[in-house]
Amino acid sequence: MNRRFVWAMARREARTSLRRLGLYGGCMALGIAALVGLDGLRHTVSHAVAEQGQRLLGADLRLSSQAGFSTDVRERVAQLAAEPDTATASVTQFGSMVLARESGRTRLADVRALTGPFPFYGAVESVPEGAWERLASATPQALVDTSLLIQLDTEIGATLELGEAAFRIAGTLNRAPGSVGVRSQIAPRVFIAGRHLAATRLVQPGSLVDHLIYVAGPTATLQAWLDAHRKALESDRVRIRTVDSYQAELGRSFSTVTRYLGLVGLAALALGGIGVASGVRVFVREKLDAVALLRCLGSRTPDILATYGMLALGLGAASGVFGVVLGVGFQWILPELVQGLLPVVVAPRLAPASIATGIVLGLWITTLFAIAPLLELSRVPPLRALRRGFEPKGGSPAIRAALFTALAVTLLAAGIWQAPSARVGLGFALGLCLTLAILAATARAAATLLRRARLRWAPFWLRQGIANLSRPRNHTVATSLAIGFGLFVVATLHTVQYNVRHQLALDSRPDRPNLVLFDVQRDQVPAVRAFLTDRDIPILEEAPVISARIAAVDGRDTGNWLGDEQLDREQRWALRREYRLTYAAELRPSETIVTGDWWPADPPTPGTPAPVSLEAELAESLGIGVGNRVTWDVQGVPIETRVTSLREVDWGRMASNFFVVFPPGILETAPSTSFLLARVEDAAIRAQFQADLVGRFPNVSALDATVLLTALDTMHRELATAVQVLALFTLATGLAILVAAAAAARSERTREMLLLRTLGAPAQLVRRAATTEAVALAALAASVGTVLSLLASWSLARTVFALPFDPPLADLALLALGTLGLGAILGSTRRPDRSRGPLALLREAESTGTGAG
Amino acid sequence: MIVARKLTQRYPRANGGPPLTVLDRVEFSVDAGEVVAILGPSGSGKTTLLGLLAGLDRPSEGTVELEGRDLGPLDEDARAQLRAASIGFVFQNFQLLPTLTALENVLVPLELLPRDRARTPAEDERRAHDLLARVGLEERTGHYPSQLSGGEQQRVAIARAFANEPRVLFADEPTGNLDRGTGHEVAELLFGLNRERGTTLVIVTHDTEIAARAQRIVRLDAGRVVS
Repeated sequence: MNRRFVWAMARREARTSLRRLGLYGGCMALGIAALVGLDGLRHTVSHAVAEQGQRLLGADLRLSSQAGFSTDVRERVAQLAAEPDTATASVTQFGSMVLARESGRTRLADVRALTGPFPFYGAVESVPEGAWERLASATPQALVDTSLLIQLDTEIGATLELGEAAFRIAGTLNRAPGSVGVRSQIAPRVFIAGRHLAATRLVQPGSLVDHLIYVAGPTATLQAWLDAHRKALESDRVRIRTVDSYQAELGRSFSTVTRYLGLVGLAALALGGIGVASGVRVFVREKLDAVALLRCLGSRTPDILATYGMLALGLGAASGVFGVVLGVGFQWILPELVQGLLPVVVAPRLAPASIATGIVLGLWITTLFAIAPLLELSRVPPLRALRRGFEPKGGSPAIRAALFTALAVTLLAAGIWQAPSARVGLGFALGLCLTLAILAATARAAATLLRRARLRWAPFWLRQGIANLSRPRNHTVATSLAIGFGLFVVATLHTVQYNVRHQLALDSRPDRPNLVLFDVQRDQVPAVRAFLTDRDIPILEEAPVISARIAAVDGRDTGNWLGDEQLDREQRWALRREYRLTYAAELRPSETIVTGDWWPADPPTPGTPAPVSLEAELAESLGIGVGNRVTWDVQGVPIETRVTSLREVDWGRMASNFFVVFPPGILETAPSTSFLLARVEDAAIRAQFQADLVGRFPNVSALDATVLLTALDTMHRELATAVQVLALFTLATGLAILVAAAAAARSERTREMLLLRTLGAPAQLVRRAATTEAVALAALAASVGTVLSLLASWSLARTVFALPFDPPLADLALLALGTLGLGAILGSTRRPDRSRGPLALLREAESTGTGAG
Repeated sequence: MIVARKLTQRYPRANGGPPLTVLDRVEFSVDAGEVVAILGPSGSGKTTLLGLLAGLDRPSEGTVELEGRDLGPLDEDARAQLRAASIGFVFQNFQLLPTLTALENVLVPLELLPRDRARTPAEDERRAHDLLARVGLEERTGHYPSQLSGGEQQRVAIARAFANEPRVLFADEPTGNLDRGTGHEVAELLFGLNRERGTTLVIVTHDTEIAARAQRIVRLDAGRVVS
């Protein structure tokens, strides 16, 4: 290779070409920016979680149980507490209504009663300072999340009624152990001292309570204790959280979200790659004459490839760097967009790995997409310098196949790298390849059909414009891919989002319940019913709730089974959890039987296993189906059941939905609470009702469903914004490609247009022909892209999100029309400069090499 | 210097018919330092012959020897190397690289010289300047082709053709795209430089006035040498 020539030529070509190629590089930079931003945020979050893990947990170890710790567990913990340098604290946590005495407002709160020196790590920041340390004093005091004060319209120093006890609001918390987020919007935290819990009389049999023990101590001591007792704890359904497992749990869900977002970024990058390919293709076409001349003058294939390859790599590196700069900036904006989804407070930081990834991606994607057009330069015959008609020979099918394989492997690897699971990554990569293949095939087929169509009846400009789609040096396939794929990504995202949002608001029945009453003790039920009826509030649904656990499945003892370390996460969760059972004679409207049969009206035969109906996904997690036997431990009483049906439950519906349903006649005597659904139209009356209810029944909690829906909507809106921002990246990439493709087409057709002008065609006719070509291309790409997006979003909605599919047809039509309009605008601007004569422009086209010669 | 034996060139037809014979068993030789004009009407095969003699294409049959070396067995890159070392070109449509200045266009053949003949970049630049001065463009070295007239562009092309001190210069209708007066000036320059440097010159033209200035005229008609 002649290095001096290569350097000199590359430098000279860069001088004039990089600005134009920069537009294509810009397309790719946006995709890189999206990936770098997300990757960086993931790194930042995992770093913050690692750094703050101990502080977030507040201890080295947390043990939790919904049913309360057995004496055995308490003894084991006592042994640990007796070890040197080891300390324990306990927290009782439950949801309850709180009433601000002065304002009379109520709110569901997340109550945490503390006993012991918790937290062991991380300072609690309170207003006023030192309030946390005074929490355990003899006077009942409460520390609350700031949001609660606003919601209750109260202030520090006011009185908070909690069950049957009154607490003075001693201050607010700015920082306390545990993650905050959407949860605090539904139920803000209220911290009280454990010594005052009994006075509230809120913890009663059957209440939904979490019991927690926090431990701090030397790692070796804790590890030895865990090694010795883990099996026994697991068997006793005690959930164990170490700092490591807590960090993993915090990071996991956020990582999944960002990985889904990453796929959107990846789609933008693929689109950018197509932009680079079509840009380099046009560039190469323009360089054919120059390369023929260089070959004539004696430059060899390696010199030519090295010269233009260096330009491409320069473009890739520049795009990578630009993408990284944008991505790092994006990293500063992203945390704001997804604040509610962040498990920890993060400060953006530069992640060298993400930056390196961005630059490598830029180089690799450019190489991958630019190599096929560049190889065309190696096949330019020098004879072309004498006779323009000599086109480069066709490339080797083996090289083409190798390139396609490399492209597919890259997409696959990138898909798996970004996706939350290999399966999703594989599906994404295959979907992407299939979409691109269909778009390319349709464009080719349309061009062939149009070539064959005889449009003798059509005016000249229409025939000319349509014929351009299949003429030599056409951009039909490249532009269809760019527009079609861009539209496909944007339309698919929009459709899926529309369906997810639609699902949130799906339960739009006018009589939909908006008030949930729970923890109604059995003896309170008649009084609560009367309380509602007296106020003309109809009870829409009522269900008894009985706490239970699974004692055995097909005779296999759950306690022993939980000791098995091979159990997968879902099965462990399903076996260990505390269930809320109910009984019902009839299937609810939100339920559908998918396997087996609902029970007959006759009561179950005594002495035989009772029939039971399980939610289908729960049965799958447990690995059982119709016919299997489940033994329930209903607060100490074993109840033998046999699964007779599996149900699909519409969880989106505001209804009393249960995982496990018994027939009537079995659980009636078990300790139970009740769950009531009601509807109170007016928000003010609803608030007053809640306040009255708490006054009369302090232990009964009432959740205003609109609060829940608002919280869910906030979370969804944050996600949607993040997705929309990324979709914007894709859209911007698509637009950049569209502009670039229009510029390329303009450059290709310049000479043709000038000739037409020279032959006397009016400028309007030339413009119409160009517009026809652009609009036909946009129409082809937009229609295929829209149809493909409908198919993709339908399959995503059904398989990934398990939602009914309802396409936003009006929006999609608008999007497609917008693309057509844009095509028309870009096409109509594709005309030679009218201020100058055709001859001058012809000469210019000749000497700048933009024309055909 | 150049020997062509039974040189035949056929091109396949797009409709699949019998191939089109552009050159038919042409026998031809050029001595070192000789100036030969290839004359003939359009479509007689002049440019095809020039392309084959310069090693830009492979003949369907026959051989071409350049400085005693058979071009047949050489692949495209080896022929390119030979062109870089020994051949210069002047084209009808000038063929300047549009993104390079006049000076840079003249520098290209110097940068492509084989290592044993390569000089320092400063020396090359001086030489390119001298050549541009010789063709009367010392004031236009930094101009791009689009900023030059047709005659000026062809003068840059002539300077470029002599830059690598070629032993053979091939000129394809060098005045074909120029008006009569400019064409005359350019022809003067081409022949003058050729005389100064003793280069072998093969010039394809259908301008009898230019052909008359050659030492020998080879006439082609329908792919055959007629005189």
